[in-house]
Amino acid sequence: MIRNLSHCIVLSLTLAGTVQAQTSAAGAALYNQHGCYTCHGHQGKGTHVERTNNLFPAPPILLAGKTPFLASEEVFRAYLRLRADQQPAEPSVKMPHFSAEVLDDADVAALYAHIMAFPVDEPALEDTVMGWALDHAEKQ
Amino acid sequence: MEEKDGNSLSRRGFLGGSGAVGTAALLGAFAPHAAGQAASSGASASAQLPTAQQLERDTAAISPPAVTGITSRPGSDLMVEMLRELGVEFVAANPSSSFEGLHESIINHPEHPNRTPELITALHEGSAVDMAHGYGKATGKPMVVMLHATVGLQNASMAIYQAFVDKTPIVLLIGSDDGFIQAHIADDLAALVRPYTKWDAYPRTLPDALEAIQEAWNQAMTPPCAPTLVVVDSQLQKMSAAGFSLPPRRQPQFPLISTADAALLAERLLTASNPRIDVGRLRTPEGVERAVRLAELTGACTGTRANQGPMSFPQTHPLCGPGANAEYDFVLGLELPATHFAIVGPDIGTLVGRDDAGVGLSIVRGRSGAAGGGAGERRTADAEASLALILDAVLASANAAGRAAVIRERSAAHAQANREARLTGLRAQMERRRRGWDASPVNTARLYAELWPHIANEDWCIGSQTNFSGGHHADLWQHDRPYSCLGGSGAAGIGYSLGASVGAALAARDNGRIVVDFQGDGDFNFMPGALWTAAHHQLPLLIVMHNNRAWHQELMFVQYLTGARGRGTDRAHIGTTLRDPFVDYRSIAQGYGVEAVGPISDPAELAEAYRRGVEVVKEGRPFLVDVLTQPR
Repeated sequence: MIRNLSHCIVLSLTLAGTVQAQTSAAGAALYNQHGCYTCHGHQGKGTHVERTNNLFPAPPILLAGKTPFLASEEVFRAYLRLRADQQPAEPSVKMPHFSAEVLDDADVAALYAHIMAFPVDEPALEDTVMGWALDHAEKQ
Repeated sequence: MEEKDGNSLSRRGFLGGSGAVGTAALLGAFAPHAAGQAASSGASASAQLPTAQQLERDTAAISPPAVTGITSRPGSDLMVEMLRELGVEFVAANPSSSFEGLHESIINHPEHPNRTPELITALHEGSAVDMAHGYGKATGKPMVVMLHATVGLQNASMAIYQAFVDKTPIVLLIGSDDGFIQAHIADDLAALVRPYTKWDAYPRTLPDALEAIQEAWNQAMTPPCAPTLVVVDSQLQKMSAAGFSLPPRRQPQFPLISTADAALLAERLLTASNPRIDVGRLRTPEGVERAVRLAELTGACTGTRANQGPMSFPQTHPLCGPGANAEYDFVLGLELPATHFAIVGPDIGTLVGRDDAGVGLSIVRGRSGAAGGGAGERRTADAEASLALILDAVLASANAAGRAAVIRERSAAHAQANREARLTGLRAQMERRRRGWDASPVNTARLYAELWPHIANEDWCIGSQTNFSGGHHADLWQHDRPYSCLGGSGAAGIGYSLGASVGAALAARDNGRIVVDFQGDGDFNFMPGALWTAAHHQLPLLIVMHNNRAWHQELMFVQYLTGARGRGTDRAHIGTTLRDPFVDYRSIAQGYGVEAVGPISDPAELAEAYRRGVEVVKEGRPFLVDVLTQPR
């Protein structure tokens, strides 16, 4: 009985993992197809724009646990659907609106799963070439 | 044609009087062009297709028509000597029938063949002007570009417009030959670009042509610095120069503040308890030296724009930064508005009268002639030239010695505070850029950061615009030379960076300097032929491709609009991206004779690519590193 139960658990986890992988793969495709990367970067790390204006947006990074609109799938879905849906008078680089016709609930779920899987990638300064640059500046 | 050796009379009866014309007459002849004064060449205005013979000559390898009375000392030799007298180092051109005389004189001048000036071969007229644009910003002096009549001038027009908005000195010599291809002839060639050039002339005699070239150089050099233009008829180039000589050299006249103002500023800087000087874009490296000298003599803390454009205050000079005490009781602006007193040169808005075609360029109409902002007094004068007067007044002031101890103490306090602020700011900027450090494609902060160790101890210059790739040098690098950062394109037009960087590399070639071009892929594809110019002339140019495979700004615009219209963002890439196929920049570079590596998508490979690139560039050859990047 215990063995059967453990088999069931393993099978369930495997299936769940497969579904999650498929969802994430689909999410990755949607992330690229709908151009999320254009502002948020290919891994959700933003665009490193420091002087923001209407030509150069500084969008939020996409990081689980830190980005408010990623608090839950529901919040994320609402965020996508509630963007300003108006005719812009001038060219804009604000967050686009994504209607249910463009991204249905399954798409949003896949996209959310993909985004939530983005890795944290912030090495210590000393582990990058910027550590050398800081030393160089201090010696001047 | 009646031209004869030893004398001259062109088919249009150009005046051939010997000797220089007087300055007064000259100014009358070459006053900035006004409406309704178009110079007529006498050519028919009716449209006429070129004859088969004309087309054959212009496109095939047959000899030009014979010139009766070939001269051993043509007028174009004197024109080249005029350029040499002015200190013109380079003349960029794509070859043309209308300035073949000048071309031949440059490369075959009996005393200095192809040296000062040297002919630079451009593959597109726009590239040629972009080169002059980059060179002009790197040096503060004009490079010359030869353009062919209606067609060459129109090819170059966009680049001329950018240089105009960017207030960069360039001298354009427009070849004209009204007996050749009808479609290349116009009564008033300069009118094609008059609203966005500063000054033009169509001289009818050789002495007038020599004076016009000199005046064009002087006009380009004086604020508002801008492209100027001389139409140089082919007959003047080919007529005999016997009996003619160069006119006397006239120096450019810069608008100055009064000596009373100079004395007042000297006293206020010396007696203020905490003066500050905010330095914008001066004209030349000499202006930067003067600003440094003034700051050091007065112990004034300074602000700079050196990480945004050329000819500003050295960024890591001890007196550059927020200072030990931000309560400034006297602030002087040099080419910038300021709280108390600003010296700002006349802007391109003062040239609105040249728009006799009624184009109504907003960038010209929108400027009053001086920079806005700042509550203090303002003088419309050239800050760089005025600095010489202020320095003289400072040195003559009794307060220079009397306040020496105070100035020394203040300078030391500022130096300490500025160093701390610089290092604190640098660390903060670096911390922000750790995000996504190992991402693939390469993040743009790392694109810049990885190059810094390879050039930090070199004499370097960024020749390109950098805003589309994040402009991370502004916060991560130290801009201490007048040419460290040459800034943007002027009018935000595309196609500028490669040509401008080639021009900056011309300025760098004989000075042991490295030029870096952070090159957007969309921008690159407008005029990639400048790569060949860099290879051919062996220029020290490192091209770093910011290859995001898109015209990314427009991709974002279209993406937003598709969302706003609720019609889906999944097709925003159509017409805004460079996919299917991807462009192979390494192969393109190699095809033009430029060594290249890439595409690199693993950031760990960047350091070696840069090491190799800098090594090659220091040997005097261009090198391209193609990097697949995050969008911005």
